[in-house]
Amino acid sequence: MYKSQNSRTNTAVRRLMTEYKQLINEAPDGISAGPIDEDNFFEWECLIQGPEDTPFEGGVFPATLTFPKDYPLSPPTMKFTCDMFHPNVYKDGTVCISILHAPGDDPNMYESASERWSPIQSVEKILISVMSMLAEPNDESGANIDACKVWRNDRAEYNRIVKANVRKTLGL
Amino acid sequence: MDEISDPSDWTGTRLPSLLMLDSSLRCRICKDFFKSPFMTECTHTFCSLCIRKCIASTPTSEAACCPICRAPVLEIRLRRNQVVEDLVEWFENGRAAIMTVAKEEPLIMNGPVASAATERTSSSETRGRKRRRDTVDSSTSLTPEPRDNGLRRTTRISSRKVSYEEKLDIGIENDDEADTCDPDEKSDVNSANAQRDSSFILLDDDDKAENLVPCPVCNVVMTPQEVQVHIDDCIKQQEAKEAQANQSALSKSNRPLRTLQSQPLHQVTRKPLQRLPKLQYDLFNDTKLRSKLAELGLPTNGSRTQLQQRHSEWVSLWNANIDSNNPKTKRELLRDLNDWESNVARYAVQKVSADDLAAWSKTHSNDFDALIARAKKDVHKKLDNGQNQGTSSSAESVVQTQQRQDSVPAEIKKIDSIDETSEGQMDYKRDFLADTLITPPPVSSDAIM
Repeated sequence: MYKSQNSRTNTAVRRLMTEYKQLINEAPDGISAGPIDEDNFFEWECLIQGPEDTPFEGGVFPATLTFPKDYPLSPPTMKFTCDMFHPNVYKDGTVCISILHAPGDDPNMYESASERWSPIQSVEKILISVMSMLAEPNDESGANIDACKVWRNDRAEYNRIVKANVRKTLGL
Repeated sequence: MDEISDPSDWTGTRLPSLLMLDSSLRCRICKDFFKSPFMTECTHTFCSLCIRKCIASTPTSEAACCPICRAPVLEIRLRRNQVVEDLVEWFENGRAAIMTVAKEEPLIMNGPVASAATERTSSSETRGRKRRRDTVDSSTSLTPEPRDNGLRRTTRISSRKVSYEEKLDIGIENDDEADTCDPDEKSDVNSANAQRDSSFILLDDDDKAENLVPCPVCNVVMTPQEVQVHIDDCIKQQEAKEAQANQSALSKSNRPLRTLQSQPLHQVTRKPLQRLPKLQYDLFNDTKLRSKLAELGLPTNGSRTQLQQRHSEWVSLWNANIDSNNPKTKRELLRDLNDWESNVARYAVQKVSADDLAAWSKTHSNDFDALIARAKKDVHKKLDNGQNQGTSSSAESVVQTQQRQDSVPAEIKKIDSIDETSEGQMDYKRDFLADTLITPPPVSSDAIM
């Protein structure tokens, strides 16, 4: 098990351990997350189920969460490690969503402060937000412009690409 | 991870309702029990250190706000929440014991299940005793069920259900079936219920030994009945003790100087223990800031950003420590600061320097100069080589060079034209681009052929 070098000040590790424990004890539907290696609580792997009644349905999408050393004062970053065609996910997989942006860090200048990161947010809240982002893209803040265009102009094509990616994540 | 406690510990125990109490006594920032809880003007409570650090970490361009409701928060308007502090202390003291009691039932329940095989064949007397144990369980359950004396059989089942809440497993179901098949059952049930109706259960010595429970407050082991009577007195005693201890702790924090006077650190004896003000760092030059840190007995090495962050962190640590009922010594605080600096601060320093592009390009200007110089040298060498080869023998290379020069994109031509006006300044840009064009990877040179 993880031995903290200094349990005195390492609030970030303590908090991440608490969140991990809570996620184990009360696993929310469609979400699973935990540290890749229990010696390093700052790198997590998570799995998100595609929400129902969307083209993502049936898929299971792996992603990594990278926490800063001053977590929870600063938000983690999230990156899908599978092919993800979505208006709010950069082509390299990085998720662009307001809950992951600290106040004062607003790449697209569209977010209201109330949606942004605050130290009371948690891994669970992030993953739930990402799930609802999959269901309802926000094309005002496009991270992947191609996906934005296809989503806006050719929904059938968008659904086709997403479904192809779902099959890919399932190894079909 | 075992040392980490969290509200979900209560799920699956006999007291799942304590989950909400447990989570209400925790800071939403660190998810731990409140340490020196402070309340904001919007009536939200956090640990003193958590909210102070949160306010300190807010970028200067933004107003600090409550992490929960985002109402503006001013550090000087924070107020201590003494009731919450006391609640936390007492809950934390009793938590382990309550948890033991809350988790105990599965053990008692497993007892009869595990030994069911032997008990089923044994005399009705043992069975009776076992049942009495069950009734004891339900009478000590903290979620009592209203009992209807007229419907004894159903009462018994329902009270069992309550006491075995969420824990019914196949073993118990079987046990129940066995009970109903037992010919001795009825009389046993009646006698058990009669005992309960008299609202006091007499236990023989065996039962006593098996049913002892620790008092959740003082942990002294006794029968559940005794606990019921004892617990009120015990809590009163405990409270009196706590109040005393608390008062002495409070008087300590009210006159904090005295507690730290015994410290050998000369800084402490020289400076009275009072809140540190925040600094407007813009008003301090490096020298002044360094002397400010030296005054506080802090390390004065590092960049300006480091100095600022170190000071800001120290102010948070120091002021939160003053709020604590059991303040740490300055030596411990300095160790905390050092831990913070070696574990957390590195990130913050990097982040700031990456943002500060001007400073970054300044520190790396030597690298840039070296790169430009090398690129210039390379491009001149290449051009010279190409011309030499062209005049001497290889017609191919002449074609190549010419093609390459022809294929110089419009942008470079543009740069050329700029060069005419401001030569020298833009020079290196062309050199860079020309360099990349003149030394293409082997694949593209084949393509040109």
